[in-house]
Amino acid sequence: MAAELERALRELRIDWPETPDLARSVHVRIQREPARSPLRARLLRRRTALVASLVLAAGSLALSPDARSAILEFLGLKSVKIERREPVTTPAPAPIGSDLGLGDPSTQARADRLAGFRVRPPTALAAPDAIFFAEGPPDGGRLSYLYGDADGPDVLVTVARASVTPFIEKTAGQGTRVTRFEVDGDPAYFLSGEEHGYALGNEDRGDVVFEPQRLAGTTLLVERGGVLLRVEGDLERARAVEIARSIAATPEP
Amino acid sequence: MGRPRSEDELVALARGGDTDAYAQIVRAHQHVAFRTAMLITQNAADAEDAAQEGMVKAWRALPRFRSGEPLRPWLLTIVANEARNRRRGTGRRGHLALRAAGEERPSGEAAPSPEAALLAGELRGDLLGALAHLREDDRLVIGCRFLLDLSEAETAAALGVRPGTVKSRLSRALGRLRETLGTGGTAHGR
Repeated sequence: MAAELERALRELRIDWPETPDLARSVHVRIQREPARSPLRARLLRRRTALVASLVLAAGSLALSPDARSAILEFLGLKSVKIERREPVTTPAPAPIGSDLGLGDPSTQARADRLAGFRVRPPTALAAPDAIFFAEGPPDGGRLSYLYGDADGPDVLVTVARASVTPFIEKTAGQGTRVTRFEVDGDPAYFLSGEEHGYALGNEDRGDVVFEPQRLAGTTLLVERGGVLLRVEGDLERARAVEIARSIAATPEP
Repeated sequence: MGRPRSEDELVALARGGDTDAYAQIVRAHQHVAFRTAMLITQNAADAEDAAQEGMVKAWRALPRFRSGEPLRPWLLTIVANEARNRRRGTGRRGHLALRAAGEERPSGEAAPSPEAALLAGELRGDLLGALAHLREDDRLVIGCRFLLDLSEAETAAALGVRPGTVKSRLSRALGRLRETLGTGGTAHGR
């Protein structure tokens, strides 16, 4: 009976959810971690050994002034003053773009739970280097995919359940050039110039906010089915449109 | 093209900072890591977060991993810890839908008679129903050993207990599962 039950359990084929591509998401994250090299590891071990020697030496100092002199001479550290201090922890490096005011660093799974809409990263780009989510306004929050490296962000893609159509011309900065056109029949705006902040949101609900420019370059805005797609960076219009077209987004979660 | 690298070689490279080597290690274990987290969190989004965070923490801790030790239990310990923290943090009490996937037979094997298929289907349904009625500790140990096919050592790592505890806990869990099956799946509430 016991063996039969165990066999029956082993033979159950469970309908598990699809396993996410963790190798890819983990790879993206650890590439932003501080470098770890064999040399660095060896140096770390040597430093640990030296600290241990110093601890031993410091322990000896309290016992014997002669030993103190001998040990410090042996270490070549006779002039070094040893002080006891609290260890200082090194803060973890901030993720790329954390100073852009895009909200909290997030994952796709977390954003799926929080956002008032559903979106997937643009397939015209590689996996995002960072994901941020900010609570509303606008209602439903704002999800940002950021692309770049240690030198800084290159492309920012932001999605929100919002509109810019009533505000864009009157709120765009004075140095902004706004080109109105369509992407597959949906209203689109290409912003260029020295500064191109603008207002977005829903006037009826009163949750209108002003969005500053975050990256140098141009901004494409596309309103598609109640969702506002924004592609920002040093991009030609055609490339920005290609990126926007590759974003799957719906206004419902 | 060279021969594929062994796990020990990949670990050595990853300890030296090779992120591509570590990505290969994650790929090899991501399936079992995600499902272990899924058993604990009972929620796919939390399981993904926990498995990803656990793998990143394992990368940071890799210089402390002892060469020659089996890697999978070590990874599962870290991922399962993350999953437990997340479950505590969210207070979520989801429900892992233990649905049996469609019956597959090796090619060439004769199809069972309609009566035999019906009987097999009913048995699977009874078993899943009885599992759902077990308390969490029992479900987890049975899930790790039989649904994920983890070894005793790996189950111990995932549950944060000693291997000896796995053996005794599993024995009791199977006993309660048998009782539940014998009483129509309703005798033991959670």
